Amino acid sequence: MLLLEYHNKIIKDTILEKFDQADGKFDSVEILLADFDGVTFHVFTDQNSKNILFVSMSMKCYSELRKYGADKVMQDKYGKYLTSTEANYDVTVQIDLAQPPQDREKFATDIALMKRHALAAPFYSVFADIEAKKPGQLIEIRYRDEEAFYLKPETDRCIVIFSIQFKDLDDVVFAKVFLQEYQDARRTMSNAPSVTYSQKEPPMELRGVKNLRVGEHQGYVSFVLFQPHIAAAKRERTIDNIQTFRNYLHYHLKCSKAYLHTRMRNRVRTFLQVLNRAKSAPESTEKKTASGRTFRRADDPAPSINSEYNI
Amino acid sequence: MAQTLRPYLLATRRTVTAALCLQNFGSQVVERHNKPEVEARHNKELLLQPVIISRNTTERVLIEGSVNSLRISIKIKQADELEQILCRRFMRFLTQRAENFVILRRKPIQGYDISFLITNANVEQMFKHKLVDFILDFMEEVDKEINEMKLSVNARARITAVEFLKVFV
Repeated sequence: MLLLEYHNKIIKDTILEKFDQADGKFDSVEILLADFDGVTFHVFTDQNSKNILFVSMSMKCYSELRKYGADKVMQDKYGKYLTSTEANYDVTVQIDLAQPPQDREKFATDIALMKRHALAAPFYSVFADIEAKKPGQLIEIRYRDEEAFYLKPETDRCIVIFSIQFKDLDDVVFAKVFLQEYQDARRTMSNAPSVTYSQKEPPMELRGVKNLRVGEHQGYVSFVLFQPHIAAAKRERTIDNIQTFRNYLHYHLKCSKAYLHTRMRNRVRTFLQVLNRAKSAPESTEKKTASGRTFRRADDPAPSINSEYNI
Repeated sequence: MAQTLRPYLLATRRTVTAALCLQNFGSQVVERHNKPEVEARHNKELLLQPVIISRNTTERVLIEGSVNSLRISIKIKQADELEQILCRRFMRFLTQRAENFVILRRKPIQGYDISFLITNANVEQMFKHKLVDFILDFMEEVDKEINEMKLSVNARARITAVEFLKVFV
């Protein structure tokens, strides 16, 4: 599986499973689950009427997203399903399991895309600015504890900058190799967004922004999205994909490290086998007594099956 | 560059075979003790002249002999940061399993990546020519392995980059 899935698989599967319960008797459900970037979901059934299912989402950066119209996006996507928000959560959706909609698959996927829709809000606002050729401001969203992404609209393009913090210094080197390939990929695919990577220091586009992190563990990746990527036809896919970039990168870093470890372990095992060939087995200690009796010493390593005893 | 490999390995093989003439020798300093003299280094007369065989500035082998033990330290070629990381991890994997390896030293000598310590007891249990074969095999295989791992990282990077950017196109 190369690309990460954009929707939350657990939520989608739970909803579809509940819809499939044909006999009308619904069990109570209580699920607390975590998604990428510190987002938590709470899926539970109403205590009084078991056919009502609530799905709540909590995001650290929701207050920032609200500034850019996240509430409106939620309204557009979920409309009649939105309900009063649960305490400690940011969005709550209510589903009547007894009346499933026409296209269950699409509906379940849509609910499972809640996180993606919330994060898409600033993107919609920036893309709309670019289409209308209005000058826009730099948008900063701190979607993780130590990391943020920045949206910088320009006349005909949008620059998306991720600040990524690597806990492990080795990761920094691996990431450099990976991101070098992203930059080089433009040679084969001319329509792809252009990618640049700067380590330790923030790139020029972020000049003047406060609270930028610097240091050995820090990296900045800039994507330049051109008109074809922002145009209405491709817009949704662009937003889908670029949101998962940071998690995609880390996922593949971990996969390659795991693969290397497996290789090394196998190689070590091979070395050990070669070395064991160097060991010599002690010669067979079969001896004869004066009266002609053949016997083996107790410490003989490999007793043969047919050993004779002549008395 | 590849032409230096054969003479390098041949020189190492001959030196190691010559230095692997080990015999039992009790410690002259402490009664009833039997230490590998190349580690203890108490008496100058028991130690042989150390030999360094360099393929180039980045790869070399240090062979220190003594009357009852032999220490071989290898510095592996590491061209860039990624190779340095791979080499370090690989050597750590090996040294953590030093007990199984018997002739491996848990810490490499200063300035080298990995060290072997072969004592007279090891030579008594193992065939000498097979030991030498193992050391040389090891040197070649490690270089090959690090190259292959680096290639696999690059290949994976390219595939993931293309997959990711294909979505935008």
